Order: sequence, then C-alpha cells, then structure tokens
Amino acid sequence: MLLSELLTELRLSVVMKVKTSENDWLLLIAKPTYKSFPPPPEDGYTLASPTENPELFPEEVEAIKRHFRPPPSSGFITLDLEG
Amino acid sequence: MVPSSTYVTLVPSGLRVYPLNKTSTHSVGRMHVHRMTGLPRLDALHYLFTKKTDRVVAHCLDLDLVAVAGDIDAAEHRLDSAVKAHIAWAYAAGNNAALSCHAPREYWISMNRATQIANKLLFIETVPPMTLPVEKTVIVAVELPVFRAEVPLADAA
Repeated sequence: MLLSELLTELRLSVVMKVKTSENDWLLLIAKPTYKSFPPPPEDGYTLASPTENPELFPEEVEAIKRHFRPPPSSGFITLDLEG
Repeated sequence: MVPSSTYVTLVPSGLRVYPLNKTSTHSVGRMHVHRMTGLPRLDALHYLFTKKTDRVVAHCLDLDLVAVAGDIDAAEHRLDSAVKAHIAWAYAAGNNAALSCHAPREYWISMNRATQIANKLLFIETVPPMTLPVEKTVIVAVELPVFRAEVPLADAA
C-alpha cells in the first residue's frame, strides 16, 4: 500500500517533510485537526522512508493505524458480572 | 502536565511517571518528568528487531515508531532518524504527549524474550542535547509459506 493511499483512507496528511543527509525522508503524519505542534501521539506519527510516497510494509501500516485508531478497549477492564 | 494514561508517584529524586502497563513482565520503559519544564524525560530507549524472510522490522517500543529495511543496519539507521526527529520536535514544542506513546504490551513481552544484542548510545539534538542508552534485542519471526488457490467463477458454478 502506498503512503498516499493510507493517508486518504485514514484522512491524514503529511504536515512536515525533512530530507536527511542520507537521502531518507522524515515525514510527520498528522490528522488535519491537530491543534499543537508536534501533534500528540494520537494525532501524529513520524515515519522515516526512502521516498516521499513509499510503498509501506504491513508493519508500518499497522503502526500508523495503531497511532490513529487506538484499540477501543485499551485502558478499560472487563468485569464479569455473571459471576 | 502528566499524560492521562499514566500514574504518578513522588520519590525523593523527583516526579516519576510510569506507563499503565507496569504489570508487564518487562520492567523498563519508564519516563521521568523534568521538575522545571514538566517534559517527560526518557531514561532509555528499547529497540526490538524482528527478522523476517525478506526484511527487518525495527521497532522503538518507547515511542511506538516502526522502520523497515532490507537489513538490520539499514532498519536501525532509519529508526534512529525517526526517533531523533520525533523527540527533537516534541522537545522544541514542549509537547509532553508526543513522548508518551508506548507500544502495546505484547511487543514488550517479545522484547523480554528476544536475544539481546549490543546496546548503544543515541545522541539527540534537543536543547540541551541528550544522549539516551538504547537497549536492543532481536527475534527471528517464523514465517510459513501459504499456498493459495482460486477457483474460477465458471468452475465454482
């Protein structure tokens, strides 16, 4: 999956691009609604990639989705009221 | 300000903040909060490398950042860049929350079970500059081949 496709799917955008001395790109991905810079973790993710619009590996896709779609159950416990 | 996903204890050396998953078998990943600025101060970073058949996944568990490359050196180098930029941007803006995103617990458990490799120090250009120790471990992922077949529509009918 291309980064641009994932950004479209999750409604995100790249808000900062920096090219490193090794010709890698550092991309700061954020929700369009972020209010502070850099965005808080649920609103921002830093990706290092060889190109501006890389073909993402599944692990990168998973990490980005994890940042922007935290599991709804995190921070909660389930009580078994039946007994 | 302390992130909401943490709890705080007061100790003589200052204010300490621990991630909620303190019950994890891995006892590291703690942050300290600087008394004057209120910024979380990372004590150490933890890199988990997962070797797959065609690539290496480098994962900084403290910030939940991932980088992938063909070999371990390239993946680590790429991850270093992302980690340095992430921390430097957060410090420059005084954004506490950007430094309080940990990887899910299962990755910390994997790190605890993985083979430890040589640690290193990572220099980060914050003001003032900081040098963080990096603990590194590596695991080899077991990948089984999956044989897939598709029945043509005409045959299925």
